[in-house]
Amino acid sequence: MTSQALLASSTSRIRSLVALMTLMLVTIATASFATVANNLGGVNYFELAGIPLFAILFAWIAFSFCLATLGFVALWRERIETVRRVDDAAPVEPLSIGLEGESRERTAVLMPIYNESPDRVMAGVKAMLLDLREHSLQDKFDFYILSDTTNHGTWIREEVAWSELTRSLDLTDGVFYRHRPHNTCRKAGNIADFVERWGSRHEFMIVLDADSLISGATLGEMVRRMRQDDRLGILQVPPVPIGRSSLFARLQQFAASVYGPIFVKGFSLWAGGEGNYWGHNAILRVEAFRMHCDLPVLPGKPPLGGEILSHDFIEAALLVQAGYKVEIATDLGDSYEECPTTLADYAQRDQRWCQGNLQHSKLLASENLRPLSRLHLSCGIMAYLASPIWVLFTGLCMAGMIVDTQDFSGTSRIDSYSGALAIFSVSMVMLLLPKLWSVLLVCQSQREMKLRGGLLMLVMSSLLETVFSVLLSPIMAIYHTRFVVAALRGKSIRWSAQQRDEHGVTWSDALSQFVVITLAGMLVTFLLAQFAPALLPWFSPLLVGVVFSIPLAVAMGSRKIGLALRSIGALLIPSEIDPPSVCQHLQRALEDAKTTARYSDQVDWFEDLIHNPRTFAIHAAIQKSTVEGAAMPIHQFKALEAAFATGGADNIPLESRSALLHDIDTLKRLHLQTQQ
Amino acid sequence: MQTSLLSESKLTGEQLIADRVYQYLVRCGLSQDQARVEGQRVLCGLASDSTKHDSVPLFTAAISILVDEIACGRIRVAGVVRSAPPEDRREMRAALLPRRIALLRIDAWADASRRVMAFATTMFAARLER
Repeated sequence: MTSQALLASSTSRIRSLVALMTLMLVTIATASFATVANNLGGVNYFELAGIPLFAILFAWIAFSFCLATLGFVALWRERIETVRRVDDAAPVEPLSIGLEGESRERTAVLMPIYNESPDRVMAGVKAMLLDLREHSLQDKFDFYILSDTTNHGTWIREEVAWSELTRSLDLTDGVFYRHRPHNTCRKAGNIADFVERWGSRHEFMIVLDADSLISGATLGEMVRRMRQDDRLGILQVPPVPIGRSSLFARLQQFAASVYGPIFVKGFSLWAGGEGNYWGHNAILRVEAFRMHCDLPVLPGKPPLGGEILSHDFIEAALLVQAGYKVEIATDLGDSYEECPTTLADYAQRDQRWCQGNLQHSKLLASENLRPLSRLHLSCGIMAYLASPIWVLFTGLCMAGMIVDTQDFSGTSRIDSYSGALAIFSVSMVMLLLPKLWSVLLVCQSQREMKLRGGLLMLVMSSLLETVFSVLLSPIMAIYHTRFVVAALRGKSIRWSAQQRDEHGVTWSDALSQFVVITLAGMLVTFLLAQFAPALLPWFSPLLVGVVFSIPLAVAMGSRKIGLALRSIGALLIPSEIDPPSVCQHLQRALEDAKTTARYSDQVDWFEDLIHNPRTFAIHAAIQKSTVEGAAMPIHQFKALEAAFATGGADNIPLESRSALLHDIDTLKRLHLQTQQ
Repeated sequence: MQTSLLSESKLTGEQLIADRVYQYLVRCGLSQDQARVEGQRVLCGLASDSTKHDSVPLFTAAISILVDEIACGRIRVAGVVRSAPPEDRREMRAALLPRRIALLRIDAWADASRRVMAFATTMFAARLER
């Protein structure tokens, strides 16, 4: 049997095992739920409706539990194997990063951006370039900053920041910038534009996000692995969130750092070569992408029709369908991203993802997609659909139990409540046990433990994260329910730039965002206390978070609380204790940018472009090398010239500025006028 | 702070233009020596061929040429470099199968079932009339 066949057979066994375990857990739990409901005064209509919802929700958590268990067992064994190999003094295979002699072709590193902070974007690119230089790999990569920015001021700042970057690193090649006049098909269109124009120059492309960061060693290893396997279409390196200080961000960072590995490992083993792509921090085979991944426009209008928003899952499914492998490199580290810092920012991002994932329902039944790809799409949909199902199920349970408590005269009340408690406990165990396993896994290594503040702080941090996740889960469920209902009612979202900086949450903001949720929570608490006080303890974990959502939102966005916890060693992640060199480079680049940022915030960049020879030269050079002439009609030019003559750059209407910036001849005429 | 070549009071008209061109290039980011050389080169070219600037002032004509040369990379300025490699255009090939979306078929079925219902209703109405 070849190694490929062995791998396929082992993946198949793992899939069967996960399916069997999930099915078994769901069957037992659903049967128990129905029995308990029946014992409590017979099954009423509310409980009857709740049984299939319970089965769906339980299947969702049971499946995650099985994957986490699988990941835990695999990682535990791997680490024991590693320790044994070191003890036996057997040579441990080093991470190969040398690409010399393999190919002269350079790999493209794409950074698609959309109204992001130019300073942060360029600092990230600079950090990766410096790290590549340290590994002597800089000449193996070309960076492309692919701007879809619609704000003309930010666009000019991007150009100036790009120019500063090339000047500071003394580059004449290897870091490119292009701006797209129209952001057709958003990020997917941005990448497709690159593939069509420059894709033939590269065998592979590494796709990043504006806040992505990958070390030079990992970039090199990603390319090496792609070269080793011709059928590998996408290699996804799981990104870990870092670099934020608010309480909410630190909770996410800690959770991803401690609990993330077992879930990702389990998912990777289960998916095998039919894994998924998360849209960034991954390397793709360019030609395969060009041949198979031009996405269709869905029939119907947005939100569920039109351009595909969550393109990554579909691209992975298309490549798998075409016979390529999509794998997740769970053993590669130093792959980072940043996370939202407040509840509202997180919800805003989730709304985009929710709409994108719900769109996939139109592709679920597409012909010739592999079954596992359909399952990935279903999981993406379920990630958001689970919330309205949960909210509905909770409502039905409350109603069902109130009816029971009014009518109930049976003799098995205590037995039934203990049965309900058992189901509740099993559900909690399935949610919490993976956290315990993750902590155990960290405790396996002294170093890993130290990188999270030691055993005591690790345990304390885990408990803190668990408490907050319980408090936040009903709030997020309500948000998700609203998003799903809005999408199904045909309300499309506005695609705005992601809020990435730490701006905190004021009490007035929190009040306006969460007042409805708070009042709804108070109403439910009052109704329960009035009609079924015995049920209050059951629902209190859910209601506390909802009723106190306003102070919770303020606390979550607080940088002060996040930093205070850090100072006592809570919620620590490895990159805070022992930052890798790429993170250190980023930190230094951001500090350098701070001084210029103050200056750049005060500049009217449009006026500067027209008056300042250097800004104009940078813009003109970029336009000449990336954009075909987009001359505006003569009457529009005349009108702009007249407006400029009477009131300068300020007099040029905002809506005409982007068109003017693309018409380099007209812009030159205005620039020459200012130099007289 | 940029420095001009000579104090303005001692300059002739052409020297004044040369000085302004020089200052423009320094503001673009050229070194002083490079600015002097490039400015003089372009002005000499214009002086030897007056047809190049018969309808515009000499300074404007010179700046116009210099702007183009910097943008094309003929004059090298730190930080003003080629922003993209040459293109070799190859179109994305459409992903064919997902275009045959099942929902389209569902729509077709829905359409067909509507027609069947309409036919049945008509037949039923006709039967009632009879």
